[in-house]
Amino acid sequence: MQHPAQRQLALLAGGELPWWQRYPWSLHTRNCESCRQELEALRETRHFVAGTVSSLPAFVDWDRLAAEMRANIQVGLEAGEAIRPREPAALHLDWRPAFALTALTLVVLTGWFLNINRQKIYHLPAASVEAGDARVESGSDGIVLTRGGGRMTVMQPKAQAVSYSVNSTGAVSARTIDTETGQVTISHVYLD
Amino acid sequence: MSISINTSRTSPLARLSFLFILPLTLSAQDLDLARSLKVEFPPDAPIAFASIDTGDSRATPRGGALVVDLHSSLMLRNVGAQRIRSITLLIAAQEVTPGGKASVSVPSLDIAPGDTFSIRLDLRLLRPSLAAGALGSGPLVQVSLDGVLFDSLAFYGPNKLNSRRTMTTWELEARRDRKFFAAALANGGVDGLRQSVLTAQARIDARPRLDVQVARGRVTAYDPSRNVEFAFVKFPDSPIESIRGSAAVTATEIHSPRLELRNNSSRPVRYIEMGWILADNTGKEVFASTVPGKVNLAPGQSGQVLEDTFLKVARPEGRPLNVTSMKGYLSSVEFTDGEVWIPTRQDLSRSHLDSLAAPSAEEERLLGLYRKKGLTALINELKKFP
Repeated sequence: MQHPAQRQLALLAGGELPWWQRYPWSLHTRNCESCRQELEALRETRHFVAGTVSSLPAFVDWDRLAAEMRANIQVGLEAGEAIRPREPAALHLDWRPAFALTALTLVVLTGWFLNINRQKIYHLPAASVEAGDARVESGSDGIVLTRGGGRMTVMQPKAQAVSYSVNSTGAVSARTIDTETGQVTISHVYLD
Repeated sequence: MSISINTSRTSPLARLSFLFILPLTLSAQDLDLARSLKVEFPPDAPIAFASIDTGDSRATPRGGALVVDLHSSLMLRNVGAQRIRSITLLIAAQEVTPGGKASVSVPSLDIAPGDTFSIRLDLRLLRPSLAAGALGSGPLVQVSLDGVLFDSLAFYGPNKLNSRRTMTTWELEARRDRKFFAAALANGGVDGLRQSVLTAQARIDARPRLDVQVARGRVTAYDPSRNVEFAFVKFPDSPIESIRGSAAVTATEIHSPRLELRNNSSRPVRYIEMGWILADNTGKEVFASTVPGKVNLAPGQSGQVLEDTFLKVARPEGRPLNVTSMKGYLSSVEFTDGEVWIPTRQDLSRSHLDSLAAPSAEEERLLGLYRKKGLTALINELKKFP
């Protein structure tokens, strides 16, 4: 349960607490025995002071006395706050160490995937043949022959399904069937 | 950019040729690229050039390189006396990729004498230098005829790419598969044909795929390998018997395959092609590649096929296959007289190879026709062929 500070009880006793704080703390003091006693003590003191003001001698400078009293009360309240036992602060996790730890974990996992698992993955063209610096392979546009610094692509229509195959004589083949005319076209690209 | 086409006969008496020059002017760079596409057919060829459409061919400088996009559609006419079933054009770009060559083939044709048909050529060429004269003075791309196959299985052409064998195999596969679907129609009616088509499509859709990289010549394997014996699928009427075979195998690589074969037929054999099926440690099988071999086996003779080849395989998602066993089957045999043998659909079905090997071009074409135009169009197509 959260208790009002000494300052708030004093203001409540004097009727000077703002209205949005007055109601919840009044409700609290009805149910909290220690706060109610403190509030009553403050009210008694206030009534006592109010009763004695009229009997003060004429030579008393009331304004100066009020200022000194306020200053003393302020010092007392601050001293009370300073020696008040405090609850241990809740543990707040900063996001930065968590972020750094996550990033480090990702780096470690990526390294493991690329190095440990690399031997198990092969991404080959659908069909390819190579000998020396010459190479024939199926690509996104068709069959590509790369040789002597040049490149020749026998292109296949993108709108039609293409089936690629290879044979060990060194040729890659592509077969397409025109969906409109039904004409079959078979392209071969030879290594030599 | 402006494109113009000139046609000339380079040697009217010896050969009829067609030369198409495509000057490509690049106004942005004030660079005049007089590159050319040369199309040349022998004078006695059964096809003639009708027209060319160069579409949006262009040359574009890209960094320190020059990119030439050639998009053309060749319109050809059958000037022979027989129906044309297949044609293969040879493409060479010696200025760009010295020694490299390509071909474009169109199988499953039915071109009557006098009819025209078109073949598309879409090429992209890249040269690293834009320096003047870097592309030389010759044509950038040369297109020539490698072969034409007729409905009688007769062949015309220089056959530099062995297109006779390839096109004959495609035509025999086409006949075999048309016959299969025609038999389904004859025996089971429209419902029987529909069921056969749906079964074939489901089988093709479920076929497992593999990425394959072939390295030729002497290659050092990185992983320790073991020698694995081939198992062979035997077909009852196969002219060639596979006696034994082996290859050095790692989890992801196969190299140096060796095959021992015997010619059980009465005719000499000059060429075989064997399909490879690989199995992983769970027993799942997948088609990897074909291994062609020149054998020259006389009747009754045995011989070996040795390939200095290195195959690296991986599943399309990049995972290794973990090859544990291999299986081979004869996908075609060529006799010295040019005739070709292929396995029947029953042969392939009995051994479940039809679920692993790629379907023929004709089967894919017929299934595409069914998907696009329906069963009636497929029935009409089957009736066009005897």
